[in-house]
Amino acid sequence: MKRIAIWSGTIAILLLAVAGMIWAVKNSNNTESGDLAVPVSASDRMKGNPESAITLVEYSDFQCPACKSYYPIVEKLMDEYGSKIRFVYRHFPLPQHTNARPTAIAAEAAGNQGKFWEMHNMIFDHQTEWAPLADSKDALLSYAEALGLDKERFLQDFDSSELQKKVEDDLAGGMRSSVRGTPTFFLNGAAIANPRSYDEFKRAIDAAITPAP
Amino acid sequence: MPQSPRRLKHALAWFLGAGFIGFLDSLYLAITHFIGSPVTCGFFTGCDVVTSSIYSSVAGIPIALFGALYYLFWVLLGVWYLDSRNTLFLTLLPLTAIGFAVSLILIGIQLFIIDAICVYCMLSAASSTALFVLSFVIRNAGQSETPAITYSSAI
Repeated sequence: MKRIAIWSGTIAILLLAVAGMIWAVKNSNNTESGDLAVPVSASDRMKGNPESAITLVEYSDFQCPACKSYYPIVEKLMDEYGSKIRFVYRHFPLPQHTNARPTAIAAEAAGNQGKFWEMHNMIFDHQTEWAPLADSKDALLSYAEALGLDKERFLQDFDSSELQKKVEDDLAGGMRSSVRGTPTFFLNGAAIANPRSYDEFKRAIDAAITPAP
Repeated sequence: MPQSPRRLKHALAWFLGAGFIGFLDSLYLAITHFIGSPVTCGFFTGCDVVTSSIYSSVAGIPIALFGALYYLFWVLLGVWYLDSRNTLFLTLLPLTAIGFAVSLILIGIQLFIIDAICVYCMLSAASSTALFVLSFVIRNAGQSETPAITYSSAI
């Protein structure tokens, strides 16, 4: 009797632990938490079809490895759906990533010279190079030069409070939208669970383009 | 020796506790890996760097899953010993050195290769260290307690 109690108790505790943990992780998923609090506007960094009614917004952090792994997925999506949807990139620099803010500001500074997306790609492509640096400014400057940006203007913009404010505004907007981690995607204003594959992402976009009858 | 049974009971309780904590900790990392959810790092840094590094999995299987199975093995074995006092458990206890050694290697990888510390990995290292240290106490106390059943008679 005692033996049955010990073993059934142990198995019950372990099963409860596994089930509870799966439930907790699923429910703490960084998405599905709310709606997009800040509507897309002209100040957003956008690509694809600006007239499209289908909008995909990503809150992202350049230093986040998961964001880097979603970057080629989003690129591929835009190659396929660029004429049908619009994609908006917003900054959500996490406090533990010391180079997240400088890279976000560098992307915005490049954006002032019409090369936001080029810098966005450059930053993600070289994430492993600049992420461990104590000061990423020189690396970012070298990317700006490689993209043919006006160096003086880039440096001026990089240090401007205006671009810092833009990044902070994105972050604040993300918090208002209950973003708790990166990346977080909003499709037509509603948070979606991070798709686990390109096909899953594609299905979500297809469903938004062709709503179920 | 009236001290031994009590010491054994306490050490076993700590052993089971450490094993259970290690199990929960590794389970969390393994589940986040399979569900694709970000690891909640709180005030600590480096969780996502470590858990998304190439060192976090072997042949596509997250190391955390091996960890969870390792702790589950010791918890079940500990409960089995509690129930049966089978001395096979005492014989197997030196194998906790494997977990301890793996933890040391993983801490080394975090410190010297990835250059980031994951708080969950450190908690797991603490759990496996506790299992290793407690294994000595349990063996000592267990061997001085008259064995109720030897593993040859129980199997």
